[in-house]
Amino acid sequence: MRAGSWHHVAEAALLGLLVLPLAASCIGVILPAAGFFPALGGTGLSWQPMRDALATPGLATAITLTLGIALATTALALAASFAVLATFPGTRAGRWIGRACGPIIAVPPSAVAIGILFLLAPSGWFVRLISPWLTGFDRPPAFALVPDPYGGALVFALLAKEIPFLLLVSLAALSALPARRLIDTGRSLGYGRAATWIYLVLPLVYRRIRLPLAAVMIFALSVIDMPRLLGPSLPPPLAILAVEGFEHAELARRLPAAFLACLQIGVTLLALLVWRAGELLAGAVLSMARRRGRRIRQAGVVMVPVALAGLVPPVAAVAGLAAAAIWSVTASWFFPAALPTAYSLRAWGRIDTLAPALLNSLGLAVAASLLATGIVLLMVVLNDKGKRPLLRLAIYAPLLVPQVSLVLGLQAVLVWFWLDGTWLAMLWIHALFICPFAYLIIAPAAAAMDQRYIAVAASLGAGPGSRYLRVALPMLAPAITTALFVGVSVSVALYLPSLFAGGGRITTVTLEAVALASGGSRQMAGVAAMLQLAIPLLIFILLRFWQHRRYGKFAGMRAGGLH
Amino acid sequence: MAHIFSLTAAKLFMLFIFLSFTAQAQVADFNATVEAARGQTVYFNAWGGDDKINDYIEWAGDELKSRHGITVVHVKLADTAAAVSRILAEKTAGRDSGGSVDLLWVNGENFAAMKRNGLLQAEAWAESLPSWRYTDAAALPAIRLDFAEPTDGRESPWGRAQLVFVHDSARLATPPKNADALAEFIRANPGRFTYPQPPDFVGLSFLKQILLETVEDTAPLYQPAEDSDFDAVTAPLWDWLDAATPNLWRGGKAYPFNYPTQRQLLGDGEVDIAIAFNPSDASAAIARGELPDSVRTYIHDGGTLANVHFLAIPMNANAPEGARVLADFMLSPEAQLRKADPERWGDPTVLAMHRLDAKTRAAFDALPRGVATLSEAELGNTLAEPHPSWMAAIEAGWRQRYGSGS
Repeated sequence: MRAGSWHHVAEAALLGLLVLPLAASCIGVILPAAGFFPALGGTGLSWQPMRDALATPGLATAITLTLGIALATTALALAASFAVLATFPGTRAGRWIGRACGPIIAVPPSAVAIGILFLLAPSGWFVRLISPWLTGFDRPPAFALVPDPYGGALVFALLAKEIPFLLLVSLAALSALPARRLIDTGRSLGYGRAATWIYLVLPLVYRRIRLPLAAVMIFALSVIDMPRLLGPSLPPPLAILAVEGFEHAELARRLPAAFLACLQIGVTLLALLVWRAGELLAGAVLSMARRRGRRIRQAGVVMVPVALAGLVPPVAAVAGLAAAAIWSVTASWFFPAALPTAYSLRAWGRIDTLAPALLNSLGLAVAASLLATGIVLLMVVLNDKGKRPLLRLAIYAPLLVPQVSLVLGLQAVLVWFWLDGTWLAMLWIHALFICPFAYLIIAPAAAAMDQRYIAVAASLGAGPGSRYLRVALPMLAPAITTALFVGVSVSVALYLPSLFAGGGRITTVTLEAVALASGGSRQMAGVAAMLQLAIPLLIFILLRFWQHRRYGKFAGMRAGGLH
Repeated sequence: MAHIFSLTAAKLFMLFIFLSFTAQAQVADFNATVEAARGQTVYFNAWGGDDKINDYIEWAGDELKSRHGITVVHVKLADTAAAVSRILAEKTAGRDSGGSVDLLWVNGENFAAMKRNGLLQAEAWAESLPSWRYTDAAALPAIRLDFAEPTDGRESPWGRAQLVFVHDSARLATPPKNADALAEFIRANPGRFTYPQPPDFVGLSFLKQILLETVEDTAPLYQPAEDSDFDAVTAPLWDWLDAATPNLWRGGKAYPFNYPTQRQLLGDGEVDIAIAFNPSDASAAIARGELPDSVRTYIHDGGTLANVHFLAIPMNANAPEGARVLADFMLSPEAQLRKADPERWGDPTVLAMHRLDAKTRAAFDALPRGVATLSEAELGNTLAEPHPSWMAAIEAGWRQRYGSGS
């Protein structure tokens, strides 16, 4: 495809759509951090917000905690997903695991957190099931397991989301690699299965999933709704400290909070640097071992337990959602009863009050995913030779800048232009957050697309437009359906951006769920968790069905599907 | 004497004419407000964490729709400060009208912050509402003094609240009924008591309660905190907390997120005492199956904190007329009666019984009380809220001492 002048126009439009709000929101958060906030009487620059922010009790602990949670989540999710990938390929279990990933990553983080809490808290389902007959407890045990002061429960819940996510992107990366040939080569040289995998396949897959991995880390750094339920609170992670400042009744507290939001960007960079150092170290160790021809037979022994351990968090999340489902139909369920003593549909009877939120979420999720996928398809055309790094960076920015830092500035910008609380703003922001995921899914599929099909179409006389619409798009259909589905999940789950862009006027299922969870009714929290599940699962089933009907016959040509 | 009498009578008569004229003028004014409000949409920003309250607001919205053609949208907040933040962001952007919040459920610190930062309607509107005549500020001064901060008629009273303690009588038969007894209970029963983590409203209220009970002289607490030696005045509170904290639930290294979370801990049996700011909260929780029916409430012997919550209109409200009509309806005997019904909500009224007609008074008397709710007489013992500046200062002090968990 020749880059005509319309390319430049489209590129400028895309940059405007993606980069302008980001730049504006940066200004919206940096100015108050530097003391400039006219509505509160701050008309000049000052160091005071920084001094106040740095004097926050427990700030050092909060930063250490944040870094620890992010690095632990990323490292463990990577190890577990690679172990699963190496242990189960080609088996029935492997296919089953691959198929389960999609629905699990569709579960919004707050629903996972509610589930894990219902399952593993001292008063949770697990302890109830084994009490008092096994434990002797007639009251919940006093140990602080979930939530715990070190963020372990939070990491566990994050892993439940991130292991399936990394598995999905790794599978997509793997499908573009001659993995079987590599493994056969390695084995014919006398290496074990695990060693072959580590030496030959892992580095290739890893190279292709570095961006999703960075996204995992930055999500773990800046997530808000999960640590509110599962994380330590004295002090909480840095992102929560910043949001608390913004929500505080003492309005002057938002200036130091803005500084904390900026600090969050610094901590993110630090985490990425630490990760990069670890990457270099691991790479050096690996290539040294490879050069010396080490057989690393122990690897196979370690791999299987790691893979099995990696399945525990997602399975626990599913069990937790079962607990949430039970809570949603509970009338009363006091510790240590294993099951509710009385059931009731009362909480479900209140679903009518949630109907507007449900419809909003559904409409928004579908519209924003379509918009984002459209933008990304346009980008893939523009960026087909990887010539436009700025555009790539712009599209990833919402993933790479912590949500807190982004959203708080964005609110100021939206209010400025009278856009807060409008559908336009909601659609825009949701699309903004979906774009990077859609790009992550579609770009590799487009890159891996067998160009010979296009060449054949050209030789049959198809013009560029027709080649794109009739050959490239159908070949990308599996990736497009995956992107739409992930887009819907991302949109439904967005908490902080919806809160600020919706201006309270446009409510979503997740906003309602968090508000209801603050009311302390486990029954309503259970219903809210179920509703959060409903939309992505519905879309998942519809898309799979459609993809199967429409493109099933092109199965051999596709890349990046739902598996 | 006759002429004196007739003079007085004439004066009285003229006074009466004058009063009824102003009253009529007010009614006429308000009728104009109601007319202007027709067709408006009122974005009512109110905490949305309780089904019953949400249902009640929905009912009020339906009534306003059918009576005055006003649409009420309940914006369900997780935290009132979020709406205050939004108004502030709008003010920053120079949006002086067409704001996103029309009416806000607010009191105490949030109201003080709004007043201080010029986020409220400048006009004193609350006492010109027709329903104001059913209140009596002499009997209930708190409807004009929000946490010792004068309301200046810029917020309209909506309901009353009082701090109550909740215990499970099956597990704890005789609860500790003052700060010293509570300290002793905590020492003797490690891990069985906690309070919501400040800046949670109920958590801070608990700290104020302990402070009011432990200080020698409460007078400075009703003046701005800046005017006194904060460390000296609050020393008894920190002494109390220093002794209690190691023996709190989770060793004082974690606290429940808010009072409903603490209520769950009581329901699970993790702690023995919960705290609520609504006298009928425990009864409602029993009815929903969240607490066992052996749960009861009590207050401390020296009384507990009580306050009034209000409805305020921001300076840039898009539908200020509609907001006033809603605030007036919320203050009407009809709406207040329904709100006081524990089946509907169970929020005590701000109206003065002697200003109501006999029939309405009887209806209030006939309201059922939940199994765990104290009687009005038992609740009667109240402590006034300290000046709002203490809340911020106590929170800062708490964060400094216990905020890092070590």
